[in-house]
Amino acid sequence: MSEIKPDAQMNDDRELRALLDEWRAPSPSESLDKRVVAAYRRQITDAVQASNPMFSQRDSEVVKMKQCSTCHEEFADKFSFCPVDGTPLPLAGQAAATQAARNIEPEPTLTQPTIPALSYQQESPQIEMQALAPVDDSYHLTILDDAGLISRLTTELKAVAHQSQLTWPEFKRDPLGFTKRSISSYAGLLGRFVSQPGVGAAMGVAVGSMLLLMLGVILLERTRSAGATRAIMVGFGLLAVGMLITIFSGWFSRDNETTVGVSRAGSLAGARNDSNNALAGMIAAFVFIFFVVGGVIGWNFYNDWRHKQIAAADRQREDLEYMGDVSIPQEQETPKPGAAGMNKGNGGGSKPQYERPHGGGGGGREEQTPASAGRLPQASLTIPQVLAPDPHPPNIPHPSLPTAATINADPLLFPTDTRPLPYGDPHSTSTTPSSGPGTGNGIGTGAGGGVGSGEGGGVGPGRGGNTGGGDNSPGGGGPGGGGGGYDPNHIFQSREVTVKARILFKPEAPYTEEARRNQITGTVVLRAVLSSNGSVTGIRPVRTLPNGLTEQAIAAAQKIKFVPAQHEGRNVSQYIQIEYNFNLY
Amino acid sequence: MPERITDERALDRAVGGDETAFILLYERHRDAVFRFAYRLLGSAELAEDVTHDCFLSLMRRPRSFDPTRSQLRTYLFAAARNLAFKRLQARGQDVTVEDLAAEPRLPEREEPLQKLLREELEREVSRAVAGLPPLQREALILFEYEELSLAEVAMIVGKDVGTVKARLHRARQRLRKVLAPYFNSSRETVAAE
Repeated sequence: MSEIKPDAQMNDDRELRALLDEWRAPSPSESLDKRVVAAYRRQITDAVQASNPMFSQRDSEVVKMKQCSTCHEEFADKFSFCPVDGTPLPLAGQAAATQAARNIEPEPTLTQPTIPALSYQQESPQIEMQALAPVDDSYHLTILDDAGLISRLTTELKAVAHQSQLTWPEFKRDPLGFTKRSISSYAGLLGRFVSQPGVGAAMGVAVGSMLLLMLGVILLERTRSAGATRAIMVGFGLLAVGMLITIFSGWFSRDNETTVGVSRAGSLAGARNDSNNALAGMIAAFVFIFFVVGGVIGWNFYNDWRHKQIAAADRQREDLEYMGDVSIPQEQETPKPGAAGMNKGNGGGSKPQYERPHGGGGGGREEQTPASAGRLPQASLTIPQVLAPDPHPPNIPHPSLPTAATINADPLLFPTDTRPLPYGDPHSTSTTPSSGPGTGNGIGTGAGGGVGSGEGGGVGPGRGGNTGGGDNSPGGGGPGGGGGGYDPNHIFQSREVTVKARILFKPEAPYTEEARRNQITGTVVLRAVLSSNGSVTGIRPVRTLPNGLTEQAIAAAQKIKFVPAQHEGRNVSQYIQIEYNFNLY
Repeated sequence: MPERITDERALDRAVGGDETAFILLYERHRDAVFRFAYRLLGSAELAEDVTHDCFLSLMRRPRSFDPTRSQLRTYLFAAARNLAFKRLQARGQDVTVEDLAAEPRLPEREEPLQKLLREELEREVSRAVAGLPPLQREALILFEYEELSLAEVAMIVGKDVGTVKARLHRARQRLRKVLAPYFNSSRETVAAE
């Protein structure tokens, strides 16, 4: 290794190259060929779609379309047979490949494509080549159909249905985009149509003449006198029709002329060259205006006809003059269901039908002085009396479970009296607090828990509660009482009211010493009524706890302050469920 | 006989939607691009991706190829080089010997011993080339394997001829050192001593 021969470097290089040649690279796989060709096709289809206004660029997932060789329609890639005539559809891209094969001659060194994935190009059926045979654009064969109007119309309609069937999947996939593309393409179509020579001018002439006609009619309408209008209208109409015929005949005659003779209408329209376009534009404009104006005129005619019919129906009453239509409500307002309202005269009560109330009540505590004046406690026909009214202040100064005094009477006849007065007989003049000489804990001279001279829990003479004399029976209706439909005794569920009761203050229920000692915990559930007069009534335990906790909860519930619920603008009573949790920590 | 279609013409047609022209182009340059990418990346799979992207980018931006400046093959090599380096960077590592050893070899009808020896030599050569720094490696591959001229290599790597020459020289030196046991001359030298 001490010396290096002069040609050692060159030898080294040669050997290195020989060594390097030992590392042979594998051939690319067939899948690469397929991948690259597929990507190329996608790329080309994307580029084609990007230049087509009917397809947005983001529709790259629907790129492959197949063309039927028989009907030359294009179908989505999923079709393997033509839905129209059943012809087998070529593989996607095959048509393009055959087309390409025609256009380019492969280089001499590579006369046949060697990629196996593309070998179908040679296997493509002969029919494909025929279908895609070059067509000379200079020669068009047009076959004129001699079928009748109806059959041609049917064919057209079928074609439209078929088209919509084909475009339906596309629409379903992207309705918004499809609509946008359709609108834009139709707008483009319309734009091209209008921009054709003569069409714009012709449309302008048509619209202008139509507007002139309308203006004339309106002016005539304004200035018409009672007599000679019809003749003028007919004359004007004839004139208009004559004008239109002149214009059209001008177009048609010019159409037939072989020379470039220009009719007056043609020169007016400024469209000398393409009479067909101009005619089409004119007809389109006329049809449009005809529909608009015709619709308006038709509506007016219909209205006139209706008024005439009405006038004819009324003609037998000569003295009456038709002034106009009066809208009469379809139905009378139905009375609200429920009880009748408070009667200002005799009788009345909660019952829906008219009926005199009967009954009465009285009481007293066998005192020497007559019953004192005062207010009546809350009246109710449904809640039984627990505590009779007493003009004296309560014996227990601060009862833990205060109970309100009630009377047994129709609350409609005795609305809740909120004056700050002691209980008493409203008709009395005595001011010394007294329950009167009666018996049974009420107020007055009678017997029972009521107020007055009768027997029972009601008011006034009579028996068994309520008021009005005689035996107790609820009243109803009465002169001036109807139409109320409001039952003050009805207690609403919280979901029935329009405005729910709003709790302003809800005190906590304290533990009792006993319960604390016995380690009682749990929940007391109460059901109560937040009544329309602002008090908590009808407290009923749903779930209880021992050792006085239920009572504590009831006492706390009674102290609840709230704004009553409202139903149709009136304060109403509402059920409420209250939970008190008793926990020891 | 129609005359040979030049790359430029075929490219024009392919961009215009002529699939046959595209296939023509693809078949002309596929193997070279693939080989280059394979030797650069050491993985047939990655090399296929690079080949795919290379042709696709040509179709997507055909204007980026300027026929007055270079041949299409040079352009494709440059594109493949950029794509391959992008992939190397994304992988965050240089090509590893394990990758190369894991590649399946083509089945050949050889004597078992000869085959074994040849495979060993091939593995050693591939390891030695893969062990070169990327810039030296690409210069070596383009010059030795693809037999491009120095000027073409310089154009592809975007450096002047002198830089390419220097890189080639360093690459050869390194290879000579790594592959010394396989040199016939060195063996002769050893035997002579």
